[in-house]
Amino acid sequence: MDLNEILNSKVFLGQEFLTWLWHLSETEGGAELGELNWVEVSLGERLVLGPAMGAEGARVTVSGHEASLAEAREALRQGKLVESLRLGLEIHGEEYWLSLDAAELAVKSLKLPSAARMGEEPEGLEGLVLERVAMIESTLKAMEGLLKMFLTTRLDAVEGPELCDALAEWAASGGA
Amino acid sequence: MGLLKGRASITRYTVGGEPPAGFWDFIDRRVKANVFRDIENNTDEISVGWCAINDFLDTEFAFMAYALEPYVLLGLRVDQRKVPAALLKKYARLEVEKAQGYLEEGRKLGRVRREELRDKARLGLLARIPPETKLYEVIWDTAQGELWLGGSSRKVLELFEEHFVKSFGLDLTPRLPFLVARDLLAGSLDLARLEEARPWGPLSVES
Repeated sequence: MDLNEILNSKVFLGQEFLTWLWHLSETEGGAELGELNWVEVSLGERLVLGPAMGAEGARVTVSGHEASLAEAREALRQGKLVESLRLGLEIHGEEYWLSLDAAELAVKSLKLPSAARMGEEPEGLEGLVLERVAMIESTLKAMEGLLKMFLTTRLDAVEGPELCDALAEWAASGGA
Repeated sequence: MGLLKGRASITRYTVGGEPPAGFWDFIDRRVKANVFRDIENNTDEISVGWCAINDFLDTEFAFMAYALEPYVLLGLRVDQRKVPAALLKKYARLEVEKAQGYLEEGRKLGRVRREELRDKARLGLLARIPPETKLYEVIWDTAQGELWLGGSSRKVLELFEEHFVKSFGLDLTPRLPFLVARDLLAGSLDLARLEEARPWGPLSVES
């Protein structure tokens, strides 16, 4: 199997990861991520669910208001998984917002905490670059920390099936 | 777009391959040899090249302005002329009608001649349409071998990847989720399980 085939065959991990992030935001509310300490995780205003890999069916797009989340939960119960979402992270007391989709897990439309505006002076640019790089690095570290946390549990012979059961129970619980 | 201001869409790459000794001299030569070339005064459809990360008009890089050790900061400037289809149709028709007027009555222009006239119309329009400029920010962490591109559309990624490899001759591998996962789990038992993982399927509780 070549690399592209492997990559395409693992898209389901992206769907499961995003679904787990939604679950995490409603249960634990965040995670302890090493040097970043406790990172709060919250659901943003957009959530798209689609059929699990290999299944057929329509997408459901909802905004993050309570009524819509009930609709999203219903889609989950009908066998759909999260395809993309808007996610909030609170790192060291600062708010970050980003969009993720299951196929790429690339960070898109990342809104960083307000930084100094780009100045005309070279030293202004240097300061701005270093500030933005540090903030983007924090975001990427948080996302990698969350992905590692998910995969470690998901791939464990005992904890993996338990996690799947916990998500199924959460999906069935119906609260939003 | 957005690495330095506004909302950022980030495409991550790993830069591989062995850079030569005298790394910063190498970067200086390669950046300057592959800077953006203006197409304002010709009819080229597209031009792709390096410029300053914060100013698409700056292709001089005075005092190695792209260097903020260990980072290389570049702008990828893409200028492109786009001929609207409706405009091309109109001017191609005008060319055909003009050429048809020179022919004897009853004779028609052949397919090849019509295509030539369409190309002529297109070139005429390209000369009159100014190129649209876009800047994509690039931050390359040479210590970690990681590079961020501020953009995520397939077209932009293709232009960037081609220009980067042409400029520096180094390998560029997108940090796709499965590859990131593999790196994160390197050395652990979970790595083998990752390769064998099968989907959960729908989340439903057995009743």
